[in-house]
Amino acid sequence: MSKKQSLTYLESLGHLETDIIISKLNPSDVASVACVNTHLKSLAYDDSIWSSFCKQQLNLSSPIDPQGNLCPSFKAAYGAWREAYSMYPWPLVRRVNNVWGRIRSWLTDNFSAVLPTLRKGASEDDLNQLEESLNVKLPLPTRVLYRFCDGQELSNDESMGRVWRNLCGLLGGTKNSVSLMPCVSNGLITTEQDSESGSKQDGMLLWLEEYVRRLEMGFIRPRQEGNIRSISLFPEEPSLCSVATTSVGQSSSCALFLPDLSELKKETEKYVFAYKIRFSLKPERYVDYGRFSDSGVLIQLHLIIKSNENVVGEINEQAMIDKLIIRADDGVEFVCLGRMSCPTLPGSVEGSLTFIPTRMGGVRGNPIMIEVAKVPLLLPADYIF
Amino acid sequence: MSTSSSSSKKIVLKSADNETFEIDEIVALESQAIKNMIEDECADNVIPLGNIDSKTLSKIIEYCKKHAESPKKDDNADIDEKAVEDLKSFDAEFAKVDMPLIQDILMAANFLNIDNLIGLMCRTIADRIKGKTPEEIRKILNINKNDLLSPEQEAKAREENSWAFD
Repeated sequence: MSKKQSLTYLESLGHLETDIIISKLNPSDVASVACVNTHLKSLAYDDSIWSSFCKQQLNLSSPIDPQGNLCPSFKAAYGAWREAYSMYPWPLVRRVNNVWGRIRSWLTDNFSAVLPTLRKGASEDDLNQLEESLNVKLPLPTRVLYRFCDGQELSNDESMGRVWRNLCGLLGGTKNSVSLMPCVSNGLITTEQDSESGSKQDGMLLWLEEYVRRLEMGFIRPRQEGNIRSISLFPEEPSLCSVATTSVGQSSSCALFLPDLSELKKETEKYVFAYKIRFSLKPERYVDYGRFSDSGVLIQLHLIIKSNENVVGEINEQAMIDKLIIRADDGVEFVCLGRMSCPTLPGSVEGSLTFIPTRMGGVRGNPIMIEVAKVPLLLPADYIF
Repeated sequence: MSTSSSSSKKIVLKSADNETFEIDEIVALESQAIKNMIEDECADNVIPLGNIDSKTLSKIIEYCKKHAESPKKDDNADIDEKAVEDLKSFDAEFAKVDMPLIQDILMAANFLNIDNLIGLMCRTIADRIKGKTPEEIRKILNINKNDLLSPEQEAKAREENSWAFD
């Protein structure tokens, strides 16, 4: 090959080969190649390479910098992202960007009212000041999470009304007490230093990743109650609830551990759970004394809490008879919410709902019951909260 | 399906420095370019390769022989993993040559249209560049001094890519 002395390596190659070579490099290598010589610079500045880096690493389909400004090229946009987060491990930045991107995209599709409440990212100065005033050192993953989004602004629009604002929390609630759902396996938390992926002390990030996964899978969903929408932390997926169907109606129940209310050092009321029972009545079954009823009044909710098969607690709620008329039309669902505690685990809760049929505005007939199927009460042992 | 070498058809390749290589046709068919020539019946007994020297050509034949012997992935879904591993380690050994030869093999593989070999050589070059500074890349690729960026251009390129150099 006599030609090679007069030609620079790579220059004598066709575009196919140089494209293959560059496609096998990571962005830092391509940036390095850009400083080698004129020929390689022109190859390494080809914006189609940077467009695919932006897509793969940051899920960007237009050249937008971290502040949302349009850049002249994908290469410039990519550089702006790298520079803005140069103090953090890049794989960690990509993880955080990914989780916030998924949250925003889920909100766009399912609960867009939350979007305007998300604040812009905090600055490095903000975070340093926070660390100083609290005299704590935040873990890197926590800092990056706040760099992308500085929490929620729930009071910027008074017209929304108090209740509405309170229920727009991104992290949802159990209505009894707004709490975060435990969901990250202990085994997943990295305690060893891993500077490459920045996965040290990333419990909060893992939690958020699991949370958005549950939103995406539909395990937890926004609920509409009257005019108010909120994210309910009670599982909505039928497979995660205990269902009982009887001749008069149906119930679906589930329980959620409340880490913030549980006091593991206490003797009693050690483990606190929230429960949610959804129920409906079947209209055609309401025949009493030969007459048809289309509604009932809930008069009692009776729950038995057991631990290791021993009864450890009981809930007996006498409903306010004149207020809770349950219509049986259209399979409308009604909900009972409450809180209970259990001294030792594993435990369980089961019971019944009692109704009296109503007819022509009056309460008549014999009580009818809907079973509340057994729900296990378990400490999510593998989980952090 | 393998052909015994005694009865198979032979093809002769002639390098730029007039060395001839007699190989089994099945080995030559690894090259899409030669395959097309044979199929179009425009190949004589001897195929002259005026831009490939004998050193490069013998390396390429070594590669094609090994790959022609190995079972093809798409032929048989359940080929044993050992054969795949064997081919992988052959490729890794094959690529342990100096940069000028890699360059020559890549250009020849491009001319002969041997996809796998083009991929292997590109991967090898990319692997040698990975994690290196611009100065180191210049050395590895033996960059021609005539094509360097001016000091101002280089300073600008480094500034624009400064995030990669911290």
